[in-house]
Amino acid sequence: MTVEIEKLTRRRRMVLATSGLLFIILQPTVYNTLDAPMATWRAVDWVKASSFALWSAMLILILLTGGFPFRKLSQATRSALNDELTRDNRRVGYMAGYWAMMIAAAVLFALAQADFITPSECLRYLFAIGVAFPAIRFAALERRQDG
Amino acid sequence: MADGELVCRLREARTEAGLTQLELAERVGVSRKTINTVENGVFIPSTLLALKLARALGKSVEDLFGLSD
Repeated sequence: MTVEIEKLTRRRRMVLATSGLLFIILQPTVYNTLDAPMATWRAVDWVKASSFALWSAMLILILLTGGFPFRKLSQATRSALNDELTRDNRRVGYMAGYWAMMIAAAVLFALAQADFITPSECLRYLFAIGVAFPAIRFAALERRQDG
Repeated sequence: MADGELVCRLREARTEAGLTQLELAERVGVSRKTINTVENGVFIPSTLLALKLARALGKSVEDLFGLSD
């Protein structure tokens, strides 16, 4: 069982780190067209919006459940994947996400006041940081503890 | 070490029992990483986990954890 848990926690860490980073990196390039009014969206924008929603939901769900929400796992394995160290790491991840959102909100507010970005962009960036930052912080903690 | 800090003797007790971190993790139902972080003093376990560790190693909680003088 524990060998399987080792494999699963490594996979969870990799998914959360790479997926979280990619989610933030793609915001100014791929998802920037979502800030236009919905009435002007083309089919490709609806696909982007769907992928944005699905990706966000997956990141939140993986972090919230301890990973692999749709995979059939024994109760013991699921419990070990979400043990008290994992829960503590998740708590630290959420705290880091809170502070990242606070700092981002201040920066985005200043940028919006100077008309560098629109309120819609501000909200999207804040949401993306709120989704991705706890996942990245959680993965970083898991990596450090993997000694 | 400052007064009242946690002293963990889990590694010694585990080695004495002839168990690896993986084996102990399996016995108490946590990941190996959790055992490793407790042994290294990175993570302070809950009362419940401390009791499970003590039971798995046939020791008392006080044998595994204590406070520095």
